[in-house]
Amino acid sequence: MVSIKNKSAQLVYVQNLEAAYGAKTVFSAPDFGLSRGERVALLGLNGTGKTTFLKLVGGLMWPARGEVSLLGNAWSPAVRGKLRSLVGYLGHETGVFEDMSVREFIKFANKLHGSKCSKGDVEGLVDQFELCEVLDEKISSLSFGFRKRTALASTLVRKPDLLLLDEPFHGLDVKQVRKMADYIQNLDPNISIIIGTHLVPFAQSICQSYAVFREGVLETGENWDDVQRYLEGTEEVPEHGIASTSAKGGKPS
Amino acid sequence: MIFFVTLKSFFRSWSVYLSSASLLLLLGIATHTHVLGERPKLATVLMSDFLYVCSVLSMIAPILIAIKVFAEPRMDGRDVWYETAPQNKSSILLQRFLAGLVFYSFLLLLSCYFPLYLLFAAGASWTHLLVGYVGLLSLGASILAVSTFFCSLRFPVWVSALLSIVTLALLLLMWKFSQWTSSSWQGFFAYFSLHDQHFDAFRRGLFKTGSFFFYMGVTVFFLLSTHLSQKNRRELL
Repeated sequence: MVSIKNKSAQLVYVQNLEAAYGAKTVFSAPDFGLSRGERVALLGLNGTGKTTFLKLVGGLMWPARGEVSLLGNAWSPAVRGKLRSLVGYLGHETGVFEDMSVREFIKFANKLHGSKCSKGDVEGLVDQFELCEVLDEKISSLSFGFRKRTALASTLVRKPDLLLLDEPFHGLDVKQVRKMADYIQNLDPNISIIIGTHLVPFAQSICQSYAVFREGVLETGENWDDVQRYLEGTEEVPEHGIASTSAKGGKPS
Repeated sequence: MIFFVTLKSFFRSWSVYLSSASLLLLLGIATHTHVLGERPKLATVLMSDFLYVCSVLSMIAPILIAIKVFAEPRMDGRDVWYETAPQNKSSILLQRFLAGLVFYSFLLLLSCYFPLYLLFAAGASWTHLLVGYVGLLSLGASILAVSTFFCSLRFPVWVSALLSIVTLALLLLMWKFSQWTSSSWQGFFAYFSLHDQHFDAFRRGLFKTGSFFFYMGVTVFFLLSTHLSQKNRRELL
């Protein structure tokens, strides 16, 4: 039986991480940490490695170099099952099973993750994401907004400590983006969240800080105006505006 | 649970109904033209010819099943739900494979009308029928495993299907290679001939243990290869 060591350690800790496709290094993340309940926006231009970083943190990929650990445990085959139960991952494609109804899919996701949610918890999620009216409808007949909500509710049935959201606003209209931002903002404050997105204003409304891929290096900071200008290409982020290491920083104690 | 969800998905898809109906229709036509023919035949010969025709057509079904179970979910992002589940990856693979195999068995069952007719109206033997269908199931399991391997690789659906078909064609043509090569390699190539060398006994109603284990061996080999490729894919960027 694998036990999670050092409960007081940072929830996520990334050290000297390097992602590479063949000989080409995509990005490096020298030092990144995330505490319990902390919410960080993962920003960057297209192709800078946001999805890859989220997949590495979620244990869906193994790093070429460096280490990613959750609660002080580095991802390895021995702890994979245990660590996966801590993480909820939602990709930009919702991946919902279109031949199921919303009710069936949430039930399926719950069973897949060991039935952590009681019937009451599931009903709570259905209310929270306003899915009551479409509960028995086939997912294939629903709008993209409802599919996203179904996917997010189904990710939460596993009661994750860490939620990784890759482009949660992708494919949604402005009204739906606002709604989705509200849903994420109102999630349990104990859940740590990393949101990979381009939409800085919405990310800012949800997250305390950001991490940005700048020239292949992951840097963290809290100066939202600077990062907005950098992503728009109107101004380079000044060196002093962004810390070169984690905002919360530090190795797990 | 994954087994039942996968199995249920077959019965909820119009494309599955359409493909299954097309395959059964083709089987019906092939039975009429190639099995019945114009000359009267013995029930054993009819059964043997039917099993041969059925084996040729049933090679297509496992490829389509593997595409439905493995390639499509990989392409549309459904696979992420399995990949992030805290369950054992080999157990997930096995459950999905078995669901595909059970659906393949269901299709075989639908083709039983002609053998059953031969059994009750023409006096064919039960043993011939059972052994023949065990052969069809073993052959189908091995083709399903080959296709599962290619459908699990990071290729578009059509590339996975093409690779499965090419590999299958190579395995089927092994008997031809054995005729072209020198006598020392003849046995080797003939042994790996997926259809002729191994299915022939089953269609004649003879249970050949060696051939049964050959099919099981191919199935296990490709399932293990799938498991290893999935494991390595996650470990390398």
